[in-house]
Amino acid sequence: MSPGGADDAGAEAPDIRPAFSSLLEDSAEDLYESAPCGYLSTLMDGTIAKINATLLGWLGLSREDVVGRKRFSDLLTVGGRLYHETHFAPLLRMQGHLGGVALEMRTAAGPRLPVLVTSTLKRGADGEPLLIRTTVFDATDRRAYEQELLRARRAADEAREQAEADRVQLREALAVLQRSLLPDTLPDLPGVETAGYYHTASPMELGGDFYDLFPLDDTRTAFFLGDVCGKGPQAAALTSITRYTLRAAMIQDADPVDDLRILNRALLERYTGDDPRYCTAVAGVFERVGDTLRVRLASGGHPPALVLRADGTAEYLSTRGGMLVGVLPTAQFVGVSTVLRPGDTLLLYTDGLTEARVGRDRQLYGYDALLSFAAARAPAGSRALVDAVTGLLRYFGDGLDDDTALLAIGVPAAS
Amino acid sequence: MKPLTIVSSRTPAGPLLEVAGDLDHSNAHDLRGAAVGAVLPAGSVLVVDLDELGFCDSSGITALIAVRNHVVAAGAGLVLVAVPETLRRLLHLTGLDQVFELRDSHRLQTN
Repeated sequence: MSPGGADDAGAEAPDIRPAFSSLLEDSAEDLYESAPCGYLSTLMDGTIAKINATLLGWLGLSREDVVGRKRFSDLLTVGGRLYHETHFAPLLRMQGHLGGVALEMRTAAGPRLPVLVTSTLKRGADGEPLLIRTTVFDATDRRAYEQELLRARRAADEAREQAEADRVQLREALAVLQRSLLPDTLPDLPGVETAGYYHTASPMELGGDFYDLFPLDDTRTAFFLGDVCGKGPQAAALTSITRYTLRAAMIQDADPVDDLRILNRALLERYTGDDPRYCTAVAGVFERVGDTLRVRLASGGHPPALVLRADGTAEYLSTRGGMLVGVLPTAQFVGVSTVLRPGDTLLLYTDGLTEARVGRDRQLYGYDALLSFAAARAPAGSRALVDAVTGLLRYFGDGLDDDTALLAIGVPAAS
Repeated sequence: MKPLTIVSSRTPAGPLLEVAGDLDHSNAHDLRGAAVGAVLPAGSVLVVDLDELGFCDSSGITALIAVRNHVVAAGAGLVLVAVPETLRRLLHLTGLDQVFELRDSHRLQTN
Protein backbone atom coordinates (compact mmCIF):
# COMPACT_ATOMS: atom_id res chain seq x y z
CA MET A 1 0.00 0.00 0.00
CA SER A 2 1.95 2.98 -1.22
CA PRO A 3 0.73 6.34 0.05
CA GLY A 4 -0.36 7.56 -3.37
CA GLY A 5 -1.86 4.25 -4.42
CA ALA A 6 -5.37 5.05 -3.31
CA ASP A 7 -5.54 8.14 -5.45
CA ASP A 8 -4.88 7.07 -8.99
CA ALA A 9 -7.46 9.53 -10.33
CA GLY A 10 -5.81 12.38 -8.42
CA ALA A 11 -2.42 11.41 -9.80
CA GLU A 12 -3.73 11.79 -13.35
CA ALA A 13 -5.11 15.26 -12.76
CA PRO A 14 -1.85 17.22 -13.19
CA ASP A 15 -1.49 15.79 -16.73
CA ILE A 16 -4.85 17.25 -17.73
CA ARG A 17 -4.99 20.65 -16.02
CA PRO A 18 -1.66 21.14 -14.25
CA ALA A 19 -2.17 24.85 -13.50
CA PHE A 20 -5.59 24.40 -11.99
CA SER A 21 -4.61 21.34 -10.06
CA SER A 22 -1.63 22.97 -8.43
CA LEU A 23 -3.73 25.97 -7.63
CA LEU A 24 -6.46 23.88 -6.01
CA GLU A 25 -4.46 21.15 -4.22
CA ASP A 26 -0.91 21.10 -3.03
CA SER A 27 -0.67 17.47 -3.94
CA ALA A 28 -2.69 14.30 -4.38
CA GLU A 29 -1.35 13.24 -1.00
CA ASP A 30 -2.70 16.39 0.60
CA LEU A 31 -6.04 15.91 -1.15
CA TYR A 32 -6.22 12.40 0.34
CA GLU A 33 -5.18 13.37 3.83
CA SER A 34 -7.17 16.58 4.21
CA ALA A 35 -10.26 15.72 2.16
CA PRO A 36 -13.55 16.84 3.71
CA CYS A 37 -14.44 13.17 4.20
CA GLY A 38 -12.74 10.20 5.81
CA TYR A 39 -10.89 7.61 3.72
CA LEU A 40 -9.64 4.26 4.76
CA SER A 41 -8.42 1.11 3.07
CA THR A 42 -8.64 -2.26 4.72
CA LEU A 43 -7.38 -5.74 3.95
CA MET A 44 -9.93 -8.44 3.33
CA ASP A 45 -9.80 -9.51 6.99
CA GLY A 46 -10.78 -5.96 7.94
CA THR A 47 -7.36 -4.81 9.15
CA ILE A 48 -6.87 -1.13 8.47
CA ALA A 49 -3.97 -0.58 6.10
CA LYS A 50 -4.41 3.10 5.40
CA ILE A 51 -6.50 5.90 6.90
CA ASN A 52 -6.56 9.62 6.22
CA ALA A 53 -5.94 12.43 8.70
CA THR A 54 -9.50 13.71 8.44
CA LEU A 55 -10.97 10.48 9.81
CA LEU A 56 -8.24 10.12 12.45
CA GLY A 57 -9.06 13.66 13.55
CA TRP A 58 -12.78 12.90 13.81
CA LEU A 59 -12.10 9.79 15.88
CA GLY A 60 -9.36 11.33 17.99
CA LEU A 61 -6.94 8.49 17.14
CA SER A 62 -3.34 8.47 15.97
CA ARG A 63 -2.18 6.60 12.90
CA GLU A 64 0.00 4.31 15.04
CA ASP A 65 -3.06 3.23 17.10
CA VAL A 66 -4.91 2.17 14.03
CA VAL A 67 -2.88 1.08 11.02
CA GLY A 68 -2.11 -2.64 11.17
CA ARG A 69 -3.66 -2.86 14.63
CA LYS A 70 -7.37 -2.30 14.31
CA ARG A 71 -10.03 -3.55 12.00
CA PHE A 72 -12.66 -1.25 10.54
CA SER A 73 -15.34 -2.83 12.75
CA ASP A 74 -13.23 -1.95 15.85
CA LEU A 75 -13.97 1.69 15.07
CA LEU A 76 -17.73 1.13 15.16
CA THR A 77 -20.16 1.11 18.07
CA VAL A 78 -21.41 -2.30 19.23
CA GLY A 79 -24.57 -1.95 17.20
CA GLY A 80 -22.63 -0.75 14.19
CA ARG A 81 -20.19 -3.64 14.50
CA LEU A 82 -23.00 -6.15 14.58
CA TYR A 83 -24.60 -4.61 11.54
CA HIS A 84 -21.25 -4.48 9.78
CA GLU A 85 -20.56 -8.13 10.34
CA THR A 86 -24.01 -9.50 9.59
CA HIS A 87 -25.01 -7.28 6.68
CA PHE A 88 -22.43 -4.82 5.49
CA ALA A 89 -19.39 -7.07 4.96
CA PRO A 90 -21.27 -10.00 3.36
CA LEU A 91 -23.18 -7.69 1.01
CA LEU A 92 -20.02 -5.85 0.04
CA ARG A 93 -18.30 -9.14 -0.78
CA MET A 94 -21.25 -10.16 -2.91
CA GLN A 95 -21.91 -6.88 -4.73
CA GLY A 96 -18.45 -5.34 -4.75
CA HIS A 97 -19.96 -1.99 -3.78
CA LEU A 98 -22.16 -0.67 -1.01
CA GLY A 99 -23.14 2.95 -0.54
CA GLY A 100 -24.82 5.33 1.84
CA VAL A 101 -24.99 3.01 4.84
CA ALA A 102 -25.66 4.83 8.11
CA LEU A 103 -23.40 3.62 10.95
CA GLU A 104 -22.06 5.03 14.17
CA MET A 105 -18.33 5.25 14.99
CA ARG A 106 -16.77 5.49 18.41
CA THR A 107 -14.57 8.50 19.14
CA ALA A 108 -11.75 8.61 21.68
CA ALA A 109 -13.50 11.50 23.44
CA GLY A 110 -16.64 9.44 23.95
CA PRO A 111 -19.48 10.83 21.79
CA ARG A 112 -20.64 8.69 18.93
CA LEU A 113 -20.09 9.97 15.45
CA PRO A 114 -22.97 9.26 13.08
CA VAL A 115 -21.55 8.56 9.63
CA LEU A 116 -22.56 7.51 6.13
CA VAL A 117 -20.27 4.83 4.78
CA THR A 118 -19.58 3.85 1.19
CA SER A 119 -17.22 0.96 0.38
CA THR A 120 -15.81 -0.49 -2.82
CA LEU A 121 -14.04 -3.80 -3.27
CA LYS A 122 -10.80 -3.62 -5.24
CA ARG A 123 -10.02 -6.81 -7.10
CA GLY A 124 -6.72 -8.03 -8.48
CA ALA A 125 -6.10 -8.95 -12.14
CA ASP A 126 -7.27 -12.49 -11.36
CA GLY A 127 -10.57 -11.19 -9.96
CA GLU A 128 -9.68 -12.06 -6.40
CA PRO A 129 -10.65 -9.36 -3.87
CA LEU A 130 -7.58 -7.50 -2.68
CA LEU A 131 -8.72 -4.70 -0.45
CA ILE A 132 -11.67 -2.52 0.52
CA ARG A 133 -11.72 1.22 -0.03
CA THR A 134 -14.12 3.12 2.20
CA THR A 135 -15.26 6.72 2.34
CA VAL A 136 -16.83 8.03 5.53
CA PHE A 137 -19.06 11.13 5.62
CA ASP A 138 -19.83 12.94 8.83
CA ALA A 139 -23.60 12.61 9.15
CA THR A 140 -23.97 14.61 12.36
CA ASP A 141 -26.02 17.32 10.65
CA ARG A 142 -28.14 14.80 8.86
CA ARG A 143 -28.72 12.77 12.01
CA ALA A 144 -29.62 15.92 13.90
CA TYR A 145 -32.04 16.75 11.10
CA GLU A 146 -33.56 13.27 11.25
CA GLN A 147 -33.87 13.49 15.00
CA GLU A 148 -35.48 16.89 14.65
CA LEU A 149 -37.94 15.35 12.19
CA LEU A 150 -38.63 12.51 14.60
CA ARG A 151 -39.07 14.93 17.48
CA ALA A 152 -41.39 17.12 15.42
CA ARG A 153 -43.37 14.08 14.40
CA ARG A 154 -43.67 12.91 17.99
CA ALA A 155 -44.76 16.41 18.99
CA ALA A 156 -47.33 16.44 16.18
CA ASP A 157 -48.60 13.01 17.26
CA GLU A 158 -48.92 14.19 20.84
CA ALA A 159 -50.68 17.38 19.74
CA ARG A 160 -53.09 15.36 17.63
CA GLU A 161 -53.83 12.99 20.52
CA GLN A 162 -54.36 15.98 22.80
CA ALA A 163 -56.64 17.64 20.24
CA GLU A 164 -58.63 14.43 19.88
CA ALA A 165 -58.92 14.13 23.67
CA ASP A 166 -60.02 17.79 23.89
CA ARG A 167 -62.55 17.15 21.17
CA VAL A 168 -64.03 14.20 23.03
CA GLN A 169 -64.15 16.24 26.23
CA LEU A 170 -65.78 19.18 24.44
CA ARG A 171 -68.34 16.89 22.83
CA GLU A 172 -69.20 15.42 26.25
CA ALA A 173 -69.48 18.90 27.79
CA LEU A 174 -71.71 20.05 24.94
CA ALA A 175 -73.92 16.97 25.30
CA VAL A 176 -74.32 17.65 29.04
CA LEU A 177 -75.12 21.30 28.35
CA GLN A 178 -77.57 20.37 25.61
CA ARG A 179 -79.35 17.92 27.90
CA SER A 180 -79.60 20.61 30.57
CA LEU A 181 -81.72 22.64 28.15
CA LEU A 182 -84.26 19.84 27.84
CA PRO A 183 -86.26 18.00 30.49
CA ASP A 184 -84.65 14.70 31.54
CA THR A 185 -87.98 12.94 31.32
CA LEU A 186 -91.52 14.09 30.74
CA PRO A 187 -93.77 13.80 33.80
CA ASP A 188 -96.21 10.94 34.03
CA LEU A 189 -99.72 12.41 33.85
CA PRO A 190 -102.90 10.41 34.35
CA GLY A 191 -105.00 10.19 31.20
CA VAL A 192 -102.33 11.89 29.05
CA GLU A 193 -99.68 10.40 26.84
CA THR A 194 -96.67 12.62 26.07
CA ALA A 195 -93.49 12.06 24.08
CA GLY A 196 -90.53 14.26 23.19
CA TYR A 197 -87.58 13.95 20.87
CA TYR A 198 -84.56 16.08 20.09
CA HIS A 199 -82.48 15.67 16.96
CA THR A 200 -79.04 17.28 17.15
CA ALA A 201 -77.71 18.26 13.73
CA SER A 202 -74.09 18.48 14.89
CA PRO A 203 -72.54 16.96 18.04
CA MET A 204 -69.95 19.77 18.01
CA GLU A 205 -72.48 22.57 18.03
CA LEU A 206 -75.11 23.37 20.61
CA GLY A 207 -78.51 23.49 19.04
CA GLY A 208 -81.07 26.18 19.58
CA ASP A 209 -84.28 24.17 19.90
CA PHE A 210 -85.97 23.58 23.23
CA TYR A 211 -89.12 22.16 24.79
CA ASP A 212 -90.55 21.61 28.22
CA LEU A 213 -93.67 20.24 29.88
CA PHE A 214 -94.55 20.56 33.57
CA PRO A 215 -97.69 20.37 35.74
CA LEU A 216 -99.14 23.66 37.05
CA ASP A 217 -101.59 21.99 39.43
CA ASP A 218 -103.69 18.82 39.66
CA THR A 219 -105.53 19.40 36.39
CA ARG A 220 -103.43 21.85 34.38
CA THR A 221 -100.12 21.32 32.65
CA ALA A 222 -97.97 23.88 30.86
CA PHE A 223 -95.79 23.14 27.84
CA PHE A 224 -93.74 24.98 25.29
CA LEU A 225 -91.44 24.32 22.38
CA GLY A 226 -89.33 26.73 20.37
CA ASP A 227 -86.27 27.59 18.39
CA VAL A 228 -83.81 30.38 19.19
CA CYS A 229 -81.88 32.17 16.44
CA GLY A 230 -78.32 31.04 15.83
CA LYS A 231 -76.30 28.12 17.12
CA GLY A 232 -73.49 27.47 19.58
CA PRO A 233 -72.84 28.87 23.06
CA GLN A 234 -74.68 32.17 22.47
CA ALA A 235 -77.76 30.29 21.28
CA ALA A 236 -77.49 28.01 24.33
CA ALA A 237 -77.40 31.06 26.63
CA LEU A 238 -80.46 32.46 24.85
CA THR A 239 -82.19 29.08 25.11
CA SER A 240 -81.51 29.01 28.83
CA ILE A 241 -82.93 32.53 29.35
CA THR A 242 -85.94 31.69 27.18
CA ARG A 243 -86.70 28.40 28.87
CA TYR A 244 -86.57 29.69 32.44
CA THR A 245 -88.35 32.95 31.65
CA LEU A 246 -91.20 31.05 30.03
CA ARG A 247 -91.32 28.54 32.85
CA ALA A 248 -91.52 31.28 35.48
CA ALA A 249 -94.11 33.21 33.46
CA MET A 250 -96.33 30.17 32.97
CA ILE A 251 -96.27 29.27 36.66
CA GLN A 252 -97.47 32.81 37.45
CA ASP A 253 -99.94 33.26 34.62
CA ALA A 254 -101.55 30.44 32.71
CA ASP A 255 -102.47 32.59 29.68
CA PRO A 256 -100.03 31.57 26.93
CA VAL A 257 -100.38 34.88 25.01
CA ASP A 258 -99.41 36.79 28.16
CA ASP A 259 -96.51 34.42 28.74
CA LEU A 260 -95.08 35.11 25.29
CA ARG A 261 -95.43 38.86 25.93
CA ILE A 262 -93.41 38.45 29.14
CA LEU A 263 -90.76 36.50 27.25
CA ASN A 264 -90.75 39.15 24.52
CA ARG A 265 -90.12 41.90 27.06
CA ALA A 266 -87.38 39.90 28.78
CA LEU A 267 -85.52 39.28 25.51
CA LEU A 268 -85.85 42.92 24.36
CA GLU A 269 -84.45 44.08 27.70
CA ARG A 270 -81.58 41.63 27.57
CA TYR A 271 -80.48 42.13 23.97
CA THR A 272 -79.90 45.45 22.23
CA GLY A 273 -80.97 46.75 18.82
CA ASP A 274 -77.78 46.05 16.87
CA ASP A 275 -77.51 42.51 18.28
CA PRO A 276 -81.10 41.31 18.22
CA ARG A 277 -81.73 37.87 19.67
CA TYR A 278 -85.05 36.28 19.22
CA CYS A 279 -86.86 32.99 19.15
CA THR A 280 -89.93 31.39 17.76
CA ALA A 281 -92.03 29.67 20.36
CA VAL A 282 -95.32 27.97 20.92
CA ALA A 283 -96.50 27.92 24.53
CA GLY A 284 -99.63 26.31 25.86
CA VAL A 285 -101.62 25.01 28.79
CA PHE A 286 -103.90 21.99 28.80
CA GLU A 287 -106.55 21.21 31.35
CA ARG A 288 -108.00 17.81 31.98
CA VAL A 289 -111.80 17.90 31.86
CA GLY A 290 -113.36 14.43 32.04
CA ASP A 291 -111.57 12.32 29.47
CA THR A 292 -110.66 15.34 27.32
CA LEU A 293 -107.87 17.90 27.34
CA ARG A 294 -108.80 21.55 26.76
CA VAL A 295 -105.77 23.07 25.12
CA ARG A 296 -104.97 26.76 24.76
CA LEU A 297 -101.81 27.70 23.00
CA ALA A 298 -100.11 30.78 21.60
CA SER A 299 -97.49 31.17 18.92
CA GLY A 300 -94.81 33.71 18.27
CA GLY A 301 -93.48 33.25 14.76
CA HIS A 302 -93.59 29.48 15.14
CA PRO A 303 -94.84 26.90 12.62
CA PRO A 304 -98.45 25.89 13.33
CA ALA A 305 -99.14 22.97 15.67
CA LEU A 306 -100.54 19.83 14.10
CA VAL A 307 -103.44 17.76 15.45
CA LEU A 308 -104.12 14.15 14.51
CA ARG A 309 -107.71 13.25 15.24
CA ALA A 310 -109.15 9.92 16.34
CA ASP A 311 -111.21 9.83 13.12
CA GLY A 312 -108.06 9.60 11.00
CA THR A 313 -107.84 13.25 9.89
CA ALA A 314 -105.09 15.76 10.56
CA GLU A 315 -105.19 19.57 10.69
CA TYR A 316 -102.99 22.56 11.48
CA LEU A 317 -104.01 24.89 14.30
CA SER A 318 -103.40 28.21 12.58
CA THR A 319 -101.64 30.83 14.64
CA ARG A 320 -100.87 33.07 11.69
CA GLY A 321 -99.76 36.56 12.55
CA GLY A 322 -97.94 35.55 15.72
CA MET A 323 -94.61 37.34 15.58
CA LEU A 324 -91.03 36.36 16.40
CA VAL A 325 -90.40 36.77 20.13
CA GLY A 326 -87.78 39.39 21.05
CA VAL A 327 -87.94 41.61 17.95
CA LEU A 328 -90.60 44.27 18.57
CA PRO A 329 -91.92 45.80 21.80
CA THR A 330 -95.40 45.79 20.30
CA ALA A 331 -95.24 42.24 18.95
CA GLN A 332 -98.56 40.42 18.56
CA PHE A 333 -98.96 36.81 19.62
CA VAL A 334 -101.83 34.73 18.40
CA GLY A 335 -103.72 32.24 20.53
CA VAL A 336 -105.78 29.26 19.49
CA SER A 337 -107.80 26.64 21.38
CA THR A 338 -108.73 23.06 20.73
CA VAL A 339 -110.06 20.06 22.59
CA LEU A 340 -108.23 16.74 22.48
CA ARG A 341 -110.59 13.78 22.82
CA PRO A 342 -109.57 10.15 23.29
CA GLY A 343 -107.42 9.16 20.31
CA ASP A 344 -106.45 12.78 19.44
CA THR A 345 -102.80 13.84 19.50
CA LEU A 346 -101.22 17.30 19.29
CA LEU A 347 -97.76 17.59 17.71
CA LEU A 348 -95.41 20.53 18.20
CA TYR A 349 -92.25 20.64 16.10
CA THR A 350 -89.52 23.03 15.05
CA ASP A 351 -88.89 24.04 11.45
CA GLY A 352 -85.96 21.63 11.05
CA LEU A 353 -88.73 19.19 10.07
CA THR A 354 -90.55 21.34 7.50
CA GLU A 355 -87.40 23.01 6.17
CA ALA A 356 -85.67 19.69 5.45
CA ARG A 357 -84.64 19.09 1.85
CA VAL A 358 -85.77 15.95 0.09
CA GLY A 359 -85.05 14.17 -3.16
CA ARG A 360 -82.37 14.71 -5.77
CA ASP A 361 -83.41 18.33 -6.43
CA ARG A 362 -83.46 18.99 -2.68
CA GLN A 363 -87.04 20.23 -2.60
CA LEU A 364 -88.38 21.74 0.59
CA TYR A 365 -90.28 19.07 2.56
CA GLY A 366 -92.87 21.66 3.58
CA TYR A 367 -96.20 21.85 5.35
CA ASP A 368 -98.36 20.03 2.79
CA ALA A 369 -96.10 16.97 2.90
CA LEU A 370 -96.10 16.98 6.71
CA LEU A 371 -99.89 17.20 6.78
CA SER A 372 -100.19 14.25 4.38
CA PHE A 373 -97.66 12.29 6.43
CA ALA A 374 -99.69 12.96 9.60
CA ALA A 375 -103.05 12.18 8.01
CA ALA A 376 -101.69 8.87 6.74
CA ARG A 377 -100.78 7.91 10.31
CA ALA A 378 -103.82 9.28 12.15
CA PRO A 379 -104.99 8.22 14.59
CA ALA A 380 -101.69 7.77 16.42
CA GLY A 381 -100.69 7.96 20.07
CA SER A 382 -97.96 10.40 21.15
CA ARG A 383 -95.18 7.80 21.33
CA ALA A 384 -96.11 6.17 18.04
CA LEU A 385 -96.34 9.57 16.32
CA VAL A 386 -92.99 10.79 17.64
CA ASP A 387 -91.43 7.48 16.58
CA ALA A 388 -92.92 7.85 13.09
CA VAL A 389 -91.65 11.43 12.70
CA THR A 390 -88.25 10.39 14.08
CA GLY A 391 -88.18 7.77 11.32
CA LEU A 392 -89.02 10.51 8.81
CA LEU A 393 -86.12 12.63 10.11
CA ARG A 394 -83.79 9.65 9.65
CA TYR A 395 -85.10 9.20 6.12
CA PHE A 396 -84.17 12.85 5.36
CA GLY A 397 -80.51 11.93 5.97
CA ASP A 398 -78.25 14.87 5.13
CA GLY A 399 -81.28 16.76 3.82
CA LEU A 400 -81.90 17.54 7.49
CA ASP A 401 -79.25 20.10 8.45
CA ASP A 402 -80.96 21.78 11.38
CA ASP A 403 -81.77 20.71 14.92
CA THR A 404 -85.31 19.46 15.31
CA ALA A 405 -87.43 19.18 18.44
CA LEU A 406 -90.69 17.25 18.71
CA LEU A 407 -93.27 17.26 21.50
CA ALA A 408 -96.50 15.28 21.31
CA ILE A 409 -99.42 15.44 23.73
CA GLY A 410 -102.36 13.12 23.35
CA VAL A 411 -105.29 11.46 25.03
CA PRO A 412 -105.00 7.68 24.72
CA ALA A 413 -107.79 6.11 22.71
CA ALA A 414 -110.57 4.61 24.81
CA SER A 415 -109.88 0.89 25.08
CA MET B 1 -71.96 30.03 -1.88
CA LYS B 2 -72.39 33.08 -4.04
CA PRO B 3 -70.43 35.97 -2.49
CA LEU B 4 -72.53 38.75 -1.03
CA THR B 5 -72.35 42.13 -2.75
CA ILE B 6 -74.08 45.27 -1.55
CA VAL B 7 -74.24 48.24 -3.92
CA SER B 8 -75.17 51.58 -2.37
CA SER B 9 -76.85 54.38 -4.34
CA ARG B 10 -79.62 56.88 -3.80
CA THR B 11 -83.21 57.32 -4.84
CA PRO B 12 -85.16 60.56 -4.39
CA ALA B 13 -86.72 59.00 -1.27
CA GLY B 14 -83.41 58.05 0.33
CA PRO B 15 -80.57 55.56 0.14
CA LEU B 16 -80.85 52.34 -1.88
CA LEU B 17 -78.99 49.12 -1.06
CA GLU B 18 -78.97 46.47 -3.75
CA VAL B 19 -78.14 43.13 -2.12
CA ALA B 20 -76.98 40.20 -4.26
CA GLY B 21 -75.61 36.75 -3.39
CA ASP B 22 -76.00 34.57 -0.30
CA LEU B 23 -76.67 36.10 3.10
CA ASP B 24 -75.62 34.00 6.11
CA HIS B 25 -73.85 34.27 9.46
CA SER B 26 -70.48 34.94 7.76
CA ASN B 27 -71.59 38.17 6.08
CA ALA B 28 -74.81 39.25 7.81
CA HIS B 29 -72.89 42.03 9.57
CA ASP B 30 -71.99 43.48 6.15
CA LEU B 31 -75.64 44.25 5.50
CA ARG B 32 -76.02 45.78 8.94
CA GLY B 33 -72.84 47.83 8.30
CA ALA B 34 -74.12 49.06 4.94
CA ALA B 35 -77.33 50.31 6.56
CA VAL B 36 -75.44 51.99 9.39
CA GLY B 37 -73.18 53.65 6.78
CA ALA B 38 -76.12 55.06 4.83
CA VAL B 39 -77.07 58.71 5.37
CA LEU B 40 -80.58 58.54 6.80
CA PRO B 41 -82.23 61.86 7.63
CA ALA B 42 -85.43 61.59 9.65
CA GLY B 43 -88.33 61.04 7.30
CA SER B 44 -86.21 59.46 4.55
CA VAL B 45 -86.73 55.87 3.38
CA LEU B 46 -84.04 53.21 3.10
CA VAL B 47 -84.85 50.88 0.22
CA VAL B 48 -83.27 47.42 0.28
CA ASP B 49 -83.53 45.66 -3.06
CA LEU B 50 -83.34 41.87 -2.56
CA ASP B 51 -84.03 40.84 -6.16
CA GLU B 52 -80.62 39.15 -6.54
CA LEU B 53 -80.58 37.67 -3.04
CA GLY B 54 -79.82 33.93 -3.06
CA PHE B 55 -79.68 31.87 0.13
CA CYS B 56 -80.88 33.61 3.30
CA ASP B 57 -81.03 31.91 6.71
CA SER B 58 -81.93 33.09 10.19
CA SER B 59 -78.73 35.18 10.34
CA GLY B 60 -80.07 37.09 7.34
CA ILE B 61 -83.34 37.65 9.19
CA THR B 62 -81.33 38.87 12.19
CA ALA B 63 -79.45 41.31 9.94
CA LEU B 64 -82.70 42.64 8.46
CA ILE B 65 -84.08 43.14 11.98
CA ALA B 66 -80.90 44.98 12.98
CA VAL B 67 -81.21 47.16 9.86
CA ARG B 68 -84.80 47.91 10.77
CA ASN B 69 -83.86 48.79 14.36
CA HIS B 70 -81.21 51.20 13.06
CA VAL B 71 -83.60 52.81 10.57
CA VAL B 72 -86.38 53.21 13.15
CA ALA B 73 -83.92 54.74 15.64
CA ALA B 74 -82.97 57.29 12.94
CA GLY B 75 -86.64 58.20 12.47
CA ALA B 76 -86.56 56.88 8.92
CA GLY B 77 -88.50 54.18 7.09
CA LEU B 78 -87.51 50.86 5.56
CA VAL B 79 -88.87 49.20 2.45
CA LEU B 80 -87.83 45.75 1.22
CA VAL B 81 -88.37 45.30 -2.50
CA ALA B 82 -88.36 42.26 -4.76
CA VAL B 83 -88.19 39.88 -1.79
CA PRO B 84 -87.47 36.33 -3.07
CA GLU B 85 -90.14 33.70 -2.47
CA THR B 86 -88.22 31.71 0.18
CA LEU B 87 -87.52 34.81 2.27
CA ARG B 88 -91.11 36.01 1.78
CA ARG B 89 -92.33 32.66 3.12
CA LEU B 90 -89.99 32.92 6.11
CA LEU B 91 -91.15 36.48 6.87
CA HIS B 92 -94.74 35.33 6.54
CA LEU B 93 -94.25 32.40 8.91
CA THR B 94 -92.50 34.48 11.56
CA GLY B 95 -95.04 37.30 11.44
CA LEU B 96 -92.37 39.68 10.20
CA ASP B 97 -94.40 40.51 7.10
CA GLN B 98 -96.26 42.82 9.54
CA VAL B 99 -92.98 44.47 10.54
CA PHE B 100 -91.35 44.99 7.15
CA GLU B 101 -92.94 46.90 4.31
CA LEU B 102 -92.60 44.68 1.25
CA ARG B 103 -92.84 46.07 -2.32
CA ASP B 104 -92.47 44.46 -5.70
CA SER B 105 -90.11 47.06 -7.13
CA HIS B 106 -88.23 50.07 -5.84
CA ARG B 107 -89.11 51.95 -9.04
CA LEU B 108 -92.65 52.27 -7.64
CA GLN B 109 -91.07 53.75 -4.57
CA THR B 110 -88.93 56.27 -6.41
CA ASN B 111 -91.50 57.98 -8.66
